[in-house]
Amino acid sequence: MKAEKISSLNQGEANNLSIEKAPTFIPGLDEILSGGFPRGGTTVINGDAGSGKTIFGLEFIYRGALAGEPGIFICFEETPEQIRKNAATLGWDLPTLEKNKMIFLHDGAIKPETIISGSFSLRGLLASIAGKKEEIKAKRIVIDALDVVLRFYDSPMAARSEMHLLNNWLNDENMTAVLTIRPSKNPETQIYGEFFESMSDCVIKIDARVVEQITTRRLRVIKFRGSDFHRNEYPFVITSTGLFTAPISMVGLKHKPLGKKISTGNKELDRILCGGYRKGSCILIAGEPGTGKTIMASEFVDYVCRNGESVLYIGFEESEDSAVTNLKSAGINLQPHIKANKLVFLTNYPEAMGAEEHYIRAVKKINLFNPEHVVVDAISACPRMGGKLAAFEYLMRLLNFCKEKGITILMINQLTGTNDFLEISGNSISSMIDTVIYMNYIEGNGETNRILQVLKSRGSSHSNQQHEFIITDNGIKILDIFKGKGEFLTGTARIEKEEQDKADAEKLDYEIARKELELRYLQKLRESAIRELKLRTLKRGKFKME
Amino acid sequence: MKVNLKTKNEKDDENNICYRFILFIAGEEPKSHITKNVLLSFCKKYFKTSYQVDIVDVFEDYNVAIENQIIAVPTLIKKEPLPEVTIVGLIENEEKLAKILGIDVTIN
Repeated sequence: MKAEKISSLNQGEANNLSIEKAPTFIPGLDEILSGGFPRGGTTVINGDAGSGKTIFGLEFIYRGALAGEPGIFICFEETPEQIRKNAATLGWDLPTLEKNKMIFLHDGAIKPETIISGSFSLRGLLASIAGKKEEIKAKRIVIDALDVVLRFYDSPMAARSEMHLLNNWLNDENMTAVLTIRPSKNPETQIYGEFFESMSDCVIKIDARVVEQITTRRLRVIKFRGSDFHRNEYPFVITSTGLFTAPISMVGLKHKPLGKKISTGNKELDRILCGGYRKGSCILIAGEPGTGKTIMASEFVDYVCRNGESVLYIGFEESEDSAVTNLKSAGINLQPHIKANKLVFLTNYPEAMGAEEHYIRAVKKINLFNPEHVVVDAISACPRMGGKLAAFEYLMRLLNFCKEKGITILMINQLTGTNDFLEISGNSISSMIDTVIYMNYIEGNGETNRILQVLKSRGSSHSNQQHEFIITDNGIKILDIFKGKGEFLTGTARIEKEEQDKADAEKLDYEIARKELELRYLQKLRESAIRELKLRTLKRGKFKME
Repeated sequence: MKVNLKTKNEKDDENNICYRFILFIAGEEPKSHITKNVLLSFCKKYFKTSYQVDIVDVFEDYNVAIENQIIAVPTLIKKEPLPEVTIVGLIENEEKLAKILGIDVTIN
């Protein structure tokens, strides 16, 4: 995330009636906190081992330093060298910041061989920090694993008075402080945590839960004195560059209106949809396995890539190579688009990580690559991410995200006969979908044929009819509707009927011709009858006159 | 301000047992004060002249404190003889100090 000057941010917050905040620059977190941690106050992050609390503190210092605010990080559990190594895996260069005096890592660990002879005071620590703070003009300070120190006190009272000392000192020095502690199972030491939480201005609880074998991390703001904040539980993820949280309630209904019509990549389908798909809309292609959904989707990909637009293909079953190879038999070659960096794949097994992580990876990729269109193949695989609710959340958020950005999203849904194609895990997403194309098999006359039907098309008219189609070497070919005598037919039955109709038509022509002849004959007869009558009348007239 | 109370005797050089301590205190903070007095009187009594005590005030010499990773006061570090021992917290009397250092004060 780009470092921004703090002053400009605070100006933006001036309208906010709450206290001044120190932004964390962690994506999503500042929104949840309505700005950041309380400036000059203390924030406690309470979390178990492995929950990620150290990274919270470290990222606060790191990004603050990048934005021009020097900070001190005191480690009571890990060594500075371990911290540097961990930071390096996230791509953070701490040594350079240390050299430039933007960050100071202080090793606060009490060596195991140290003998504790009696009560002591943390004034030693505070003195060191004070000196250092003056030296580098630090504005941020993080004390990681404060509970480690608390264990060395022999009496709760002593610990409490020391905590008061620390808290007052931090406030007097006007540093924005973040303290991380581990919740204690021991009732004796539990009170330290509670005590500190009651003293602090802001308390955040984080935990890592295992749900259906997948780890999900969540955070919740329990308290924030003097400020508004969002009170729900928010999932977050530790990505390759730091923390990331994407709170769904933040995502308002700011969808972009549907754009202009773009070809689906298939001329006949364009005709059925009276133009094509609409840019920024959500299209669902649902069908039984083998009906050709991926091919249909890939025709679209091929078309837009050829027109210079980019696509992100999110796949859950096949690897990039496998997908590309399989499409070649249908006459679609996506290789040149990959080479031209117009088509990018994001493939993972759904089980590989939690839904949050899947979502965040997708968002990161979209932000990085800026595709005009996204394909999800297949949404039916999503429940394997960690449950039905997880799948629903993932899809809702992804859909929402794309709609806000005006990105066309094409979802493929593999039906297995047990799932409803407009439902994901019992939750309807139909309101978010603009176009539904249903592809299936139809049996009859001893053979199976493929049919396609447009069930819904918001924003454009369409025909509800079923269309037969075949998969050729050049993609999908949708045939004209055959309506012979009010019936809809496919396959050889269709051909048969076509022949029959032709024969019938010929027969009819013949009949007509025959009737015409008859008519002419009758007319001739009539004419001669009239002539005879005239002649007779004339003869009678002659006799009367003599 | 460093207070250096070093006295050496040629005779003791031959014995070669010299105790060297660094005591970190925080100004006039009571625990530090008591420990300092206990340490000094102990050294005078039992080490006679072969000892060295450096007293560092963390408020003044914070860089030295950081170098030695001092977070609590008082902190007493026995540098010599080896092994190095770090003692954190109040030492309220000489018996305690003797016990920690493993020195038998009954003999002498």
